[in-house]
Amino acid sequence: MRRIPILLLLTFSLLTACSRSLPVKPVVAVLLSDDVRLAKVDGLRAGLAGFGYGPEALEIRVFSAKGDRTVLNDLAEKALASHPALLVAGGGVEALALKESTARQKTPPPIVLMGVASTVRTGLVASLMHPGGNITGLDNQHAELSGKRLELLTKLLPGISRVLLLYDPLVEPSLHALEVTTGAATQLNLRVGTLPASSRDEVTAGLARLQPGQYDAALLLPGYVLEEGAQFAPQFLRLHLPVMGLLDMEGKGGLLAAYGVTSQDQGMQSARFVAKLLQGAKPAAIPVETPDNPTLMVDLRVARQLGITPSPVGMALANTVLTAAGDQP
Amino acid sequence: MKTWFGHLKIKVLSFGIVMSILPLSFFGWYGVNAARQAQVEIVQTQNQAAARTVAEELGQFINNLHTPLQLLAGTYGAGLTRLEPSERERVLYILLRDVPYLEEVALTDAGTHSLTRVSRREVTTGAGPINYDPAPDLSSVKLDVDGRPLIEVGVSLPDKAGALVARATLRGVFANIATVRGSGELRVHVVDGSGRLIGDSDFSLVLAGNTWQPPGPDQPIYQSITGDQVIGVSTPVPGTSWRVVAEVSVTTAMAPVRRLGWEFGGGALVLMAGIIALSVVFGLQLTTPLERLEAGARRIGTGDFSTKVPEGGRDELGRLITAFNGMAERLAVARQAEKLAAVGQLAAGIAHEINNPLAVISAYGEDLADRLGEEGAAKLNQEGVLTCYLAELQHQVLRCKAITRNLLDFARQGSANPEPVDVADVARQTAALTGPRARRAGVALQVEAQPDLPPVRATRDQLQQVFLNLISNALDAIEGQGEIRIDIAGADGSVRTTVTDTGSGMDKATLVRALEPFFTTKPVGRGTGLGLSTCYGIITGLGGKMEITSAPGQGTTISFTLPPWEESACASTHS
Repeated sequence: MRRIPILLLLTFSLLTACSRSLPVKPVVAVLLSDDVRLAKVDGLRAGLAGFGYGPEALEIRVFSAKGDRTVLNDLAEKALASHPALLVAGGGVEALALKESTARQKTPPPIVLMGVASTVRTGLVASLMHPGGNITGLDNQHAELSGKRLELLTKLLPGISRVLLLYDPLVEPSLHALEVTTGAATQLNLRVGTLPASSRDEVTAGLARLQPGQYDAALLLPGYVLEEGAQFAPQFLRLHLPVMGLLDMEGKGGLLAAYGVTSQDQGMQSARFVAKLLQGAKPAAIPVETPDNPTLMVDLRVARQLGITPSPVGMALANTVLTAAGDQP
Repeated sequence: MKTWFGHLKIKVLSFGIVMSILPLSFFGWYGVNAARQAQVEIVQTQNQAAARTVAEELGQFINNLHTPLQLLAGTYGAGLTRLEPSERERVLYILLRDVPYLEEVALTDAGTHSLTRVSRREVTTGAGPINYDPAPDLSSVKLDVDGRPLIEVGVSLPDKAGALVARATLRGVFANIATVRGSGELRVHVVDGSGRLIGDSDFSLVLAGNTWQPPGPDQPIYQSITGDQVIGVSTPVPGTSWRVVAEVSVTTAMAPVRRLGWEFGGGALVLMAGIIALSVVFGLQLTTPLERLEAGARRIGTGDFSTKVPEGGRDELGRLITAFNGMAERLAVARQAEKLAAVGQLAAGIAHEINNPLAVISAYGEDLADRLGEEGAAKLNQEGVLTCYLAELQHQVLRCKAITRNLLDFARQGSANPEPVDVADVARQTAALTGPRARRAGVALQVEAQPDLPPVRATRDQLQQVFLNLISNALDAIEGQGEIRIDIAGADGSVRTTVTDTGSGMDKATLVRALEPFFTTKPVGRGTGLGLSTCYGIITGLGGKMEITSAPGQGTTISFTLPPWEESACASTHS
């Protein structure tokens, strides 16, 4: 009988020693609608390493729908079932899916927005200063910057007067951006036409109905489908349309220019939220941030294909200029 | 009943513990407190150095905010306002591109209205002119719609033709100052003149609109914006109303002191354990002989003079035990001598008492033998002399028999089985028996008893013997008329009987020997000296107490108390 307390003490000491030697590594589950957003995850990893959450201290599990929006809700459930310390949404549709999944939880895990547009308008947060609930993170201001994109398009191409706006009527930030852009167009004395499209086929079909010369330029508004703008490059070329896009589309493939914050920077800025929440902060008390330094990228290769020369005024703000051999930036 | 603290060993142990804890606690508290103060001073010195470095760098950086504007103003001069609008726009966009923390740049005319304005977010084309402050050197901190803090800096163009005004985001400014982010455990905040947080490595705190409350002048430890208790200092940023606050959390800063405290505490615990162990050892060494002495004294008190306390040690306790054992031996010898003396006294008393009748018997026998030889038995018988001699001889024999019977009574005291006895009843019965003698002597004999008294633990015969002896002694002590009073009353559950007479009383010397067997003040032949000692033996044998108070000429009062009859106690006694 006297040995029982000693055995219990030894067992407790052994368990304590084991628990010290095998610290539990927290898990962060990242939900992506497409692998195109993996650049945000790269930025997140780099940012977290700066806060002491390298691969040895934190496991990041990526759940990507690989472009198939229909599986997003199931993936959100799977991400939640992996018992993460917190969830990270790669964009707006991912954030909505995660919000819906965690709504049924008694104590839902925090959700970090890794660059999401129109966070207040979509109801993800109550306000930027006081988000409330279990969601906080980075609002990438894509909708708010749409007006500036239109202005910069006129700075690059001063002679344009008719601009085509491509938007997704099923995506709230896209509608938000449409409002902002329409207002800016009035201020800039531009005429705009719209092409609503919620799928690649609709984009293709819509562009096919247009005639060359019908518009002087086009502007991509934030939207899930429009992030794949590169695949519509042949149609844009056929219509002789210089296109301005969002920078987190990486501005590659057929766009003349893009303005915004890179996916890498969005991921990196979101890392601080993840670190703070891992340290026990409450998401409701962390204000939603906006990016500081949107940058302009211009692809002179596209300009050459279209046979146009961007104005020096617009080029003056370009932080990145993509050129082919022999081009003058 | 002895409480746990009534034990000497507990007191010794407590003394050891208190005397180990008190000084250790005091010196520990003093030492840790001194180390804590020293650590606060060290941390404050480090904080001060860090705050100064950051403040100087920040001040320099704020000063340098003007540099790109000054370069532009210097390059174009007043001609900047005369450039084509598109060219002015291009120039300002280049400035915006090359200085990442600028949010907006504007060129104003002499009247401070914007001629050209470019922004990173806002659509400025067609927005109309904006009126600026006249070339502010450095504006106060303003918040944009997203809650981000901004400042405005301005540079005048030559000839006051206009000015270049730029809005910079403070997050961008602080992002360019590595030291603002702090290093290690150091945390650096920047606050404006009103105390509002405008710069922090955690920008969420800035957006949340936190305000820094400056601590008191001698208050190095206070609650930070983060909610933690910190040790911190603040220093002004040159050229601004801002302050740089450098803080280290108390938890982190005091880790070495805490470690010292734990180490000291651990050492103190070991030391205390040692002192307590020594206290136990010395306490037991002190108290064990004392406990043995106590037990020995108790045994001697019960009459066991053969008790021997184990000896040991040469200290005072050892010598005390040796002296105690010696005392016990001497007491045993004295008790033996006393017994022998008592036996001798008893024998002398018996011899003395029996010697007188025997002497009378011897004299009468010798005289009768002489007269029988001289006068003949017939003549002596005829004259009744023979009958008279024989009667006297019988009287003396009866006197001897009475002495031996009293001796037997004395020897038998307390041997009978006790029973519930009504004291008042026995007293009245005995008074009735002795009433004629008292009346003849002119002595009033009264018995007063409190009603409903409990029966006492006694035997009726023994109690009657006591009353008989006491009344008889009282009658013998009264010369002429007098009074004997017997009062019986309850006393704390027992029954107290007081026999008071108005006799001659006893002096102190007589009173001391009153209970001694065969001690008597009565004339020879009237008392055996066994009455009172028999009474005392009976009363104490029944578990009672007896007291005598007397003074010459003031009579004598003899009180005895007997315990009440208790069935269970007596049953167990019987069994």
